[in-house]
Amino acid sequence: MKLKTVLYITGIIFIILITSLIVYIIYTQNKITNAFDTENRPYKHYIGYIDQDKALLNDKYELCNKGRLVHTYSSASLDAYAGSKKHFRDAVNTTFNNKTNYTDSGYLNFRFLVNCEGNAGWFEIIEMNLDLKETPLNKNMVDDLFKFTSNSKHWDIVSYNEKPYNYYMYISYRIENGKVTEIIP
Amino acid sequence: MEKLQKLSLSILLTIILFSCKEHSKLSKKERRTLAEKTYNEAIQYRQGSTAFQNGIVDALTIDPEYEQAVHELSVAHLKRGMPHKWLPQYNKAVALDSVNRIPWRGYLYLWFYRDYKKAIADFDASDTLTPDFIDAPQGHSVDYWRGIAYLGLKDYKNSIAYFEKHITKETKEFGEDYVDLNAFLYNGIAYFESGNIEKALYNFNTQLKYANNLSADAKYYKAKILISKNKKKEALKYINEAIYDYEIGYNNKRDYVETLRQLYYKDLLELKTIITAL
Repeated sequence: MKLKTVLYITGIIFIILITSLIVYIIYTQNKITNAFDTENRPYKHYIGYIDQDKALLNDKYELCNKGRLVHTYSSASLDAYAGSKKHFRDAVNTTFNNKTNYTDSGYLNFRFLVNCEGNAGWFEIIEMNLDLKETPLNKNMVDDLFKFTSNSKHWDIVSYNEKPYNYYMYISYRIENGKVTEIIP
Repeated sequence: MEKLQKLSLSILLTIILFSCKEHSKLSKKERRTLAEKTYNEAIQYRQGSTAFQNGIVDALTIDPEYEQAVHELSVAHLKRGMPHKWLPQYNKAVALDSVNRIPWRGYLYLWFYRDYKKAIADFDASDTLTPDFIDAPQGHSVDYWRGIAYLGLKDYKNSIAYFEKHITKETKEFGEDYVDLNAFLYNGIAYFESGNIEKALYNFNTQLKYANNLSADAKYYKAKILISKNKKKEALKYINEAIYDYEIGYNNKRDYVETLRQLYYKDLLELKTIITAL
């Protein structure tokens, strides 16, 4: 009799715990679903999202791993430069700074993706003045730096546990009187 | 399950609509409390995600003057290379809390846009805003950051003046061992680049003293100084040690972006080649 009672109470407690767990899971799932529901909300995509249908050079390469991206939080930064950023900076000096005579000043940003084979594509361009306000820059200058930046030889393959991934990257050129004076990141 | 989700969504929307109607009836303090709650729920999600951004918008709908939320809405743009969207939003936070946000903006101009002049202008403005207090965005005094910004401009006189001020103040108040090691490194670099080798050496040695003799940067510059003193053997010793320190991770670097005067492995190898050829 006592054993029956113990089993009965244990069973009730077990059912309550399981029910609570199910309710909690459903509540949490709904909460997350609602939080990420973008209908009638101002932000339709995460910050930094690149619309691959509208991006430049979007048909040259394929993304690997079903399009999964890494480094969307703040770009691959220094890991992205092939060799090192020193190589990249040297290449900017030899192929752009020492060979062009532009006079514009401003910031020119490229946001893009690099696939698991180290091929760069899916570019978005932001042209700004030195006060960070969107302003058109000299078209030929932008084209030159776009051609340079989209050259895949400048970008490394980024891997985790020896598996290569697609990654997000941005480059910001600070340009003063037609010369790149700073490269970020 | 689908029905349950729809039901939950309907209930939530009803609550939101009801809440919206009620916001205007809440006191300022109650609005802030509710906005903080909404904000704290939003920031559980990944920074810059739709849930994060839209949740913060909800918090600001409740209390548009909630400065922390206004600021946080800008941050992901900064980290992801979208300054044209970062700055207008950040400046809304400046309008609500200029005392804290102006020196912080200086710090962000310095590292994320390498705009040394705008950074210095913001650090200088913080002196006026808080005349009795030296602000310290991201844990370092504005004097330290000004030292770096002036070094970026190659204005060695001002760079050294601010590093010396920072080091003297920190040493007096807390002791030399409390001073950030990079203050000695950058002060040393400013002296080195301006041609004051002895002062440079003193700062590199001080850095090494408090860094357990581990710093690829300090040893790289010491090797350069030893070259200028025709001490090839010692220069080679230091560059070899610098390469070792670099390989085990003791080099000057920072998160998200390259640091000022960041050294790369290639820099060290090139200097070793030069020393070997002497």
